[in-house]
Amino acid sequence: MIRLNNICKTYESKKVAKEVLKGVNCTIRRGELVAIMGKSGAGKSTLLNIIGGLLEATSGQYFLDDLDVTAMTRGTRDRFREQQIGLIVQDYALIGSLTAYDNIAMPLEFRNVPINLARKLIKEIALELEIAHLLSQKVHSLSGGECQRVAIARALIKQPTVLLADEPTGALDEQTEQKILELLQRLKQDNRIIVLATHSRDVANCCDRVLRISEGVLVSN
Amino acid sequence: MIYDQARRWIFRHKLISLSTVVYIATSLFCMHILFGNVMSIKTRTDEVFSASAGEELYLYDNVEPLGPVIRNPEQVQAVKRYYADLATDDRFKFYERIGQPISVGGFKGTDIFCYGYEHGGAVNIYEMHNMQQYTTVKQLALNFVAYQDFLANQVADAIGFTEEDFYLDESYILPVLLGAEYEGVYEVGDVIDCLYYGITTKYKVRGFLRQGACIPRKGQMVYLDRYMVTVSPTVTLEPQSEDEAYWQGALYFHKLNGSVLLQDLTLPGFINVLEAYRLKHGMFELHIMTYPETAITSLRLLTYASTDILVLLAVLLFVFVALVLVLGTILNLSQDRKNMRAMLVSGLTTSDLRKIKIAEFKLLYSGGVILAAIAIFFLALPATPSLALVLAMTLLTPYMVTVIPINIHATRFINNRVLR
Repeated sequence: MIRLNNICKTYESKKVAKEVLKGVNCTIRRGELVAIMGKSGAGKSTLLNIIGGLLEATSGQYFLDDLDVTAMTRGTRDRFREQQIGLIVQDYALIGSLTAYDNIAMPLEFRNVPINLARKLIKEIALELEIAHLLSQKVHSLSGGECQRVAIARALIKQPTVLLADEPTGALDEQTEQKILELLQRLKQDNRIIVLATHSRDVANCCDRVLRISEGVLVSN
Repeated sequence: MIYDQARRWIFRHKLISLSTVVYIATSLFCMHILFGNVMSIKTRTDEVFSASAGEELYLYDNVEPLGPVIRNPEQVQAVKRYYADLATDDRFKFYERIGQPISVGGFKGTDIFCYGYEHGGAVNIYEMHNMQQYTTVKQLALNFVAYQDFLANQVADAIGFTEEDFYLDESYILPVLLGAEYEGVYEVGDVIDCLYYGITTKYKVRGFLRQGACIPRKGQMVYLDRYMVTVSPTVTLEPQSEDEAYWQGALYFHKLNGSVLLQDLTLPGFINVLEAYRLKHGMFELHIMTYPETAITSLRLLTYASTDILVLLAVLLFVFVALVLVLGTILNLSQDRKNMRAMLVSGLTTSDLRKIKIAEFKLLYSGGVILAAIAIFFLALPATPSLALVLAMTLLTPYMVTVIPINIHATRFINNRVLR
């Protein structure tokens, strides 16, 4: 379960300090698919990055189950992110010159997982996400939907507790968007927490719950 | 894992990596050549000019005719004693740089070594003695002080004269150092027959001088590439014949016509000392004269100015190389943002990303260093006297100077552009 208590985030620059999150409180249970909605600049991505351990909250507390993430040192938070969080981003963040297989294998490589085991895990996830036939293809030759599936496979390969998706269907056509949402619905059944940031009402309607954020404040839950 | 990822990046970007390695290698090689030459010129300049920093007083006799004096054994003994007092007085340095040509029997070299060759051709350079042809070649005879101050650091392979070499023994064999152009004409260990004022002496080749070896003499630089440099010996042996007595007389008259570098004396003080020795030994007067140092001073100024220009060029090249390396790496970093984001999303930390970027730079730089070192080894190794210093300066300093800004920029870039 994710618990956010009065999370604030201020970006400091040389001239001005910009307060992006102003005391966000919420709880997300395991097995839930939750959408965070809001306008551009409302603070969706920042909240997602704090949950994902990429950014540190300026104040407040963030717990994942019993772990106080806000109390972690940078190194511990990096390890936490590596072990517990799977990230999916709008532009997929794949390496175009590598094959789909190599992209999915990257997190396992960073964990020094033996090649045979990695091969087995990749084959399983590829079958589950129906991308087995794409594994040997270079990513730059894949369509948007296929890339997003590869990105999801990469996020899931390390079996994360929390799957975070920032505009996961933002660059996709309707048909592909629907397929990706069905996939996310399926994935939450493994007792995972799935949080996605979106502008789209259609995407939000497919989720169990919608958190609306405006000017750094959670306005409806 | 860090170096493994860095290696993968390099193999994925073969063209950029190869260009970077070639650029680094070429730059380092050029810097080595330039710095090597600067160091070499500086060392040579210091070697040549360090001993010619004071005004010397040249002594010469005005004895006419010389023949009867040289043939008088008592006069010769007086000259020897007079010389001994001058040469051992520690209030001044007494230099002998005798430019008297010498006749060599069965000479193996060409005319370029002959006396007068550079001044319009060698004339009357051959003579017959005991049925053998002797050729008159350029010679410079030094005493130990002159050798130490002007030439000792210009001897190739550091095989030069020792103090004992300056005493003649019964064998009448003296050591000789040959100018660089003599290499291939004579070899170390060869014994050369010479004729000097009617006496045959033997000169055993001790070694060779460095190319361009030179010493100051009478306000000019004498380049010794075509010279035989011999010792101006101290002779304690009693002459066994009239010829030997004549030879000793001629030798000591030449030795007496040396120069003096004052140390603890003023010019009037030195004149008094000279006069006192003259009266002590009942000798003829020695005249004092100086030579204008214009030629040497001009040469020194010109050489130092050239060195300064080379240093400036070397520094400019260094700054250019470092700047291009830093800018190139920064540009490469911004073009690699997507890949870095992919790695971050896949689980790497920002610190890992920074380390990978630095590792890439280290690997590329090492590649450049290896290539440059190979090129230097095969093409430019002998150009540098202080090789270790120049190698360290040219191969490692650019890395140390560039890696710091690259590190700082990589950290900022990852935090501001990759993480957000």
